[in-house]
Amino acid sequence: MWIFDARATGDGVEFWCREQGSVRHHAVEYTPCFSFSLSDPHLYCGMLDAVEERFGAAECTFETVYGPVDGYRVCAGHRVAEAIERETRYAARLYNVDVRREQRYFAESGLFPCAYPGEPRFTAAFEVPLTSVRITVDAPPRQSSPISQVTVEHERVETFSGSARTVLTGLLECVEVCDPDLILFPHADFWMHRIAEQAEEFGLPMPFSRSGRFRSLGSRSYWSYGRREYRPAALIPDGRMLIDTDQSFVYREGGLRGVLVASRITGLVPNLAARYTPGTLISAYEVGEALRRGIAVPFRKWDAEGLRGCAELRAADRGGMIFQPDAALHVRVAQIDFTSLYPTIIVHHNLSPETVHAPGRKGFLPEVLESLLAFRIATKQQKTLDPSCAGIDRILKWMLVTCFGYTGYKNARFGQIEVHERITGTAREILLRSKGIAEEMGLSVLHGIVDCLWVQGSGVAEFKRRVEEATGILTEREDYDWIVFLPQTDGSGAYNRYYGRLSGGEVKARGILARRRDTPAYIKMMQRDLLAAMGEAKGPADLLGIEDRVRGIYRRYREGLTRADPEDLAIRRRISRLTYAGNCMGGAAVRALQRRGVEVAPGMEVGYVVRDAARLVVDPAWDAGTIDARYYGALVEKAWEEVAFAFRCLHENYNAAIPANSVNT
Amino acid sequence: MDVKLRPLFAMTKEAFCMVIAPEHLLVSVLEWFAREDGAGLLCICGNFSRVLSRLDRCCPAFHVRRAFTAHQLLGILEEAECRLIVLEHDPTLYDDAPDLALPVALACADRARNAPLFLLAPRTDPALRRMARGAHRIVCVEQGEVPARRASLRALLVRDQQTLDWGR
Repeated sequence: MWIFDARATGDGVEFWCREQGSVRHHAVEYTPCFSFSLSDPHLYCGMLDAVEERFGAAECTFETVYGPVDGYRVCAGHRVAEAIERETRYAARLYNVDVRREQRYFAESGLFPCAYPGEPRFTAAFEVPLTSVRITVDAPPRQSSPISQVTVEHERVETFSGSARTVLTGLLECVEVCDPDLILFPHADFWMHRIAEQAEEFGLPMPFSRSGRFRSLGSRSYWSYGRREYRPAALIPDGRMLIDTDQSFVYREGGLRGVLVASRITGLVPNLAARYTPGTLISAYEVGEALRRGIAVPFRKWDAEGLRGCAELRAADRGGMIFQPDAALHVRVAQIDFTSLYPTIIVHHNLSPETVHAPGRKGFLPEVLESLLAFRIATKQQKTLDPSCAGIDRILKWMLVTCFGYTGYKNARFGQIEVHERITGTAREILLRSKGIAEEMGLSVLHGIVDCLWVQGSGVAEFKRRVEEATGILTEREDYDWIVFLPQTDGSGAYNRYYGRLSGGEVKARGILARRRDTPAYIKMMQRDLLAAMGEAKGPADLLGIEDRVRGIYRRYREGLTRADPEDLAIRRRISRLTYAGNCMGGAAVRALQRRGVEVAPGMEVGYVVRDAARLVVDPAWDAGTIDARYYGALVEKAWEEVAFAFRCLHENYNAAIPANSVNT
Repeated sequence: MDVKLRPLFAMTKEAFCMVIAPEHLLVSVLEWFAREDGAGLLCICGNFSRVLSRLDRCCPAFHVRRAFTAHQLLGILEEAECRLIVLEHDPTLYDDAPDLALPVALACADRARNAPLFLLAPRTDPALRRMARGAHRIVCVEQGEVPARRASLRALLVRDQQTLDWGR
């Protein structure tokens, strides 16, 4: 039994699985209960009597991460739970109220999706017994786009074109005949609504769902790491996996196996795992692990930080450590990165909400993250031999990255700000200790940021070994033939903008225009071409030797700007709101799209081309004609400046501190 | 304990008082309370306190607890054991729990029976208006002419504070 889809029903759970070579549908009765506790039950005896009489509430003891709690168990839905909250003026502490029913059923039954019974979850090697098709609508995903051509790839490639009715008839018949378990479909969450509407209009059956029903996942704008994000509404068919290959972050990062791994370890069905963010996945993983261990999942976030003095709070409320670099070009530099630093700190230092004030006990968070961390370390090693594991590794990396931030998230079920602060505090100590080791060994520390150090000098291999020995945390090493740390506007070194040539010849860049999401493709191409040329140079002398060629590339792009395709000059960014207080490009983009009938929501990515920057006139990328050459010229200059800084360093002998014999070994 | 906020307003014990005033005045209020009885003062704030970050570095020490959700705030109020509570209003606590504004206000009024509770806010908002139903006294101080000496401070007040950074 290999479960690949499930849904909650009124009185239980339905799921679809591959069993003995065919698809089976199972429906089981399952009514989960929620629990609650009261600090003074006598105050609410009337309410307790009523809940007992109407919903069969019973006294019980249940496990929480803080230990056993005496309370009540009620087999009823979340409306009853919320009524209890209101009746007790929010004094009742409720558990297991809003856990997904199918996830809870799987956890309590010892099952998990996308795996055979008894199969280990934390492995990158697993079978995928699914039949699949890939559907592509040959049109941009816009309301105005007609569905005039659709391609379906299964055992062969079929293309349906013509009127909307003809195309839909062909598509729907093909889906019915192929009867796939998995549908890969770019912009599926946009097209499925259109397909459903038009199928209804033409009186055509919708074979996408194996039960005839669809689940809808509402559109949502939300904040994530300081950025407004948008998730479009989705129409999810029963009994099949439908993955929007364009919108799904998990699919884009991890491919199909990444989605399946996310599903296996969280206990969420792949249709949800593919649509959720890494933060929601790590939250679901923790919830699933709590359920598997019989630990009740809190409904609300009520455990606040402890009482602290001002000075204590000020000392604790800090982020990661940064050593500011000199803005300069450096040669023969090694970068030492800690592998999964924050999750490792959680595990090694036993950091969990319940251990903050009782460090002797084994914490819930370290316990559940330990398996995930071990899985990630193993996958990371495995991907060097088997590149097909790279997607899984990226998903695990994202989940582990967010598990730290999640400890400080206000609604984290198993997080607390004091845990977050201790993690960053420990990380600062580790980076300081590592810097100390480097300096004891005579290495120069050029830069450091949270979980990595850039050092220069001989004995890097020994330094790496000593750091791992002192901290107990694995590290990775990258060697640069040369690296440029760019300046901030005041001339001091920027923390997160650099590029350099790795010893293998590849150019690594971070924070520069070529890496920014909102940089137009033309500017990105220019900077990438510039860096590719510079990547041929192994050292300062070689760099000076190719300077003219690099300047030539810059001139070619500068002069070609007015002939560039306007689509390549589109600025793509997420809009954070629909109304802006001041005049700005974001507001102009929203207005331009709305004028053309596009429904815009906060968090959506929009593409626009600047026609007149001074008057804030922009056009949607698909409707752009003329461009503001001066505005884009300034962007070209900005991109060039980041590259030209390296040559300025060389000409001005900006960096004089490179000993001739400084070879990293 | 009888405390004076400003010469005009005499506060009595067992009162839940909402003070809506320009931020520099709220800072002065907290500093004044800290000087009067720092050891008995509990300051409750949200994630991004605009008052704590502007306290004079010579301000006597007092205890702080941060609430990131309205439920945490209810928990802190229930557990508070102090002689005076200053609650810096954080409207974001009620973004996803608007129904909790009144229960929080009622909890504040309840807590004020043991220790006077002052809720400080720079301006009104929907959550504060709902909370007003539970307050014993509401003091609104309008923004007047800002003294020149405060001008640079005002400029600082405009930006949202991101981390706790004491002193000026």
